[in-house]
Amino acid sequence: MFRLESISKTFSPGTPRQLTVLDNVNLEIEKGEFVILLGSNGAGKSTLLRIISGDIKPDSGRVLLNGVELTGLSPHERADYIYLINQLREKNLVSILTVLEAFALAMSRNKSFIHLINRRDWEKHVKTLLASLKQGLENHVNDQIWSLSGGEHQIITILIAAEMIRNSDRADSILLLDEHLAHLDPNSSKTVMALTSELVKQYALTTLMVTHHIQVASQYGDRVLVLKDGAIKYDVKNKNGEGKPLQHLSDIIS
Amino acid sequence: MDLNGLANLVETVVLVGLLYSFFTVGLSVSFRVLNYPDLTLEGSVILGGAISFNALQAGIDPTTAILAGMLSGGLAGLFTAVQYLYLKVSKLLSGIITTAIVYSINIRLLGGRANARFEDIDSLFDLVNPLHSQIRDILIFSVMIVALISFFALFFNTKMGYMLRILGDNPSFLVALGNNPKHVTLIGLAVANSVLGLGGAIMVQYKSTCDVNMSFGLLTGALAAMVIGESFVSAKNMWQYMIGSVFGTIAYNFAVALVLFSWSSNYEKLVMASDVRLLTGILLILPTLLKRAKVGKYLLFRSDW
Ligand SMILES: Nc1ncnc2c1ncn2[C@@H]1O[C@H](COP(=O)(O)OP(=O)(O)O)[C@@H](O)[C@H]1O
Ligand SMILES: [Mg+2]
Repeated sequence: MFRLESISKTFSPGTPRQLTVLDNVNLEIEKGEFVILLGSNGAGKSTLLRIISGDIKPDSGRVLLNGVELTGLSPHERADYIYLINQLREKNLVSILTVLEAFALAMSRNKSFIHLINRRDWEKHVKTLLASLKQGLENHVNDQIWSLSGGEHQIITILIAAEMIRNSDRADSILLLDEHLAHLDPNSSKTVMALTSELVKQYALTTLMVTHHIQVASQYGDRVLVLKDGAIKYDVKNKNGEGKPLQHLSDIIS
Repeated sequence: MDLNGLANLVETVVLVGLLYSFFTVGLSVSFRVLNYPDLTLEGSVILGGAISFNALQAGIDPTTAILAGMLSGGLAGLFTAVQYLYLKVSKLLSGIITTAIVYSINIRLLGGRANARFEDIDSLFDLVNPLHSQIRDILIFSVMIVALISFFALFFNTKMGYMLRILGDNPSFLVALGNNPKHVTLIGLAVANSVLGLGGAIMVQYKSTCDVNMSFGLLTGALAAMVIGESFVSAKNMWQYMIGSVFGTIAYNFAVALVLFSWSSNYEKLVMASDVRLLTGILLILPTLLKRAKVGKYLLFRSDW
C-alpha cells in the first residue's frame, strides 16, 4: 500500500508570485493498481509526482510505502522504491550512451562500482528483448540514445524503467509516468501505451500515470483521478475499462 | 636549422608533449567527462610536484614519492568538490580558490622558498635512465602514457567510469540507478586531479627541480591541447579520445616550439617568446569555431565547456 498523507506545496511563498499547487492531498494506492491521473496544464500533476520521487520537498505531509516513511529520503535513496519517468524526455536516459549500455547499466544496478560493464554479456539478451517488440529496435542496440526517434526513445525509456525496477530487489516499487505519451504520433503513442500496459501487468507494477488522453485513461486505468485546484476532485474505480465512459471528465478537468 | 637541430626539436616537442599529456587527460576528465569546468589544474599539478619533491627529500623512494604526489592532487580535487557541493561555491570559483590556497601551502612545503633543487637525490629518471638520453626519456614517458590510457580505457568500462560520464550528461539517471550524484562528483574530481598531481610529481622528478610557478600557464595550454586533440580525432570511444588528447598535446607543443624557435632565430623582430600565450588563445578559439560547423556521428560527452 502506497500512501500520501496531507501533502501541501506552495511555490515562492511570501512573494507576489506565491502559488499554492497542492493543498492537503491524500491518496492511497493498492499494490499492483494502475492509476491514471488527469488534470489541466499547471494543475500540479508533475509537482505531485516529483514530491513522490523526492525531487521536490512538500511543505507538509508524508509519503509512505507499506508503512515505511519516504518523506525525508533524498531521491537516490528512494530510487529502490520509486521510479519516475520524467515529463522532460532528456531527463530519463543518457543521450551519450548506446541503447545497449543503458540496458547493461540498468541490469547491473546492484553491482559494485568496480564492476566491469561488459557489453557483450548483455548484447544477446537485449537484442532478444527488443526483437520481441517487432519494432526493429534490435538493429539499434549500438546506436546512441540521442539518435533515436521520439517513439523509439520512449520505448527504451519504459523498458529501462522496468529493468531498473526488476533489478532493485523490491517487489513493491512504484512506477510514476509523467506524460510519457506526449509528443508521439498516434501510432507510436499506441505502441508505447500497449507496451506500458504489458509491462505493468507482467511485473505487477503499482503505477501512477499522468496523461491528457481520456480515452487511454478509460481503456487502461484501474482507477482514474482528476487533480484540480490543488486537490483530487474525482476518483473512480474503472476495472479493465468496464466503468462508465469517461468522456464527461473533460468538463471536470477544465 | 640543420637536420640535427630539427631532430632535436622534434624529440623535445614529443617529450614535453608526452609529459603534458597528463595535464590534458586530467583536464578532459573534469571539463568533458564530468562537464565540470575545474580550474584546480595549476594547483593540483604543483601540489603533486611539491609533495613528491618533499617525499624524495625525506628519503622516500621515487615511485612512492610520485604516488604521494598523485594522492595529494586527488585531495586538492576533493577540496574543490567539497566547496562546490557543500559550501555552495560556484564551480569556476571552487577551483580558483583551491589553486590560491595550494600556492601558499606549496611555498611552505618548499621550506619558505619559491623553488628548490634536489641535492644528490636520485629521481625515478636517474634510476631508470642514468645516462639522461632524451630518447630514453621519451621511452619512459611513452610507457607511462600507455599505462595511463590503458587504465582509463578499463576505468571507463567499469560502472564507476560510466557513472562519471553519466554525471556529465544527466545526473537524474545516476539517481535512478540509486547513486548519489554528490559522491560521484567527489570521486570524479578526485580522479581528474590525481592524474594532474601524478603529472606534476613526474614533471618535478624529471626536471630535478620544483618551482611554485612552474605550473603557471599550464591550464590554458592544456585547454588548447584538449581542443586541438578533439578537432582532429573523431573518437568513437574513450580510449580513442585519450589518444587524441596525447596527439593534441604534442601538436600544441609543436606550435609553441615553432614560436619559440622563430624567436630565437632570425625572426626576432617578428616574434617574441611571450607570443606563446597569443598563439594559445588563437589555438583555443580556432578549433572551437571549426567544430561548430561539423556534427560528429559519435557524441562522447555533452559538455558545454
Ligand atoms: N519549481 C517551481 N517554482 C515555481 N513554480 C513552479 C515550480 N514548478 C512548478 N511550478 C508551477 O506550479 C504549477 C504546477 O506545475 P506542474 O506540477 O508542472 O503542473 P502540471 O504537471 O499539472 O502541468 C504551474 O503553474 C507551474 O508554473
Ligand atoms: Mg506536468
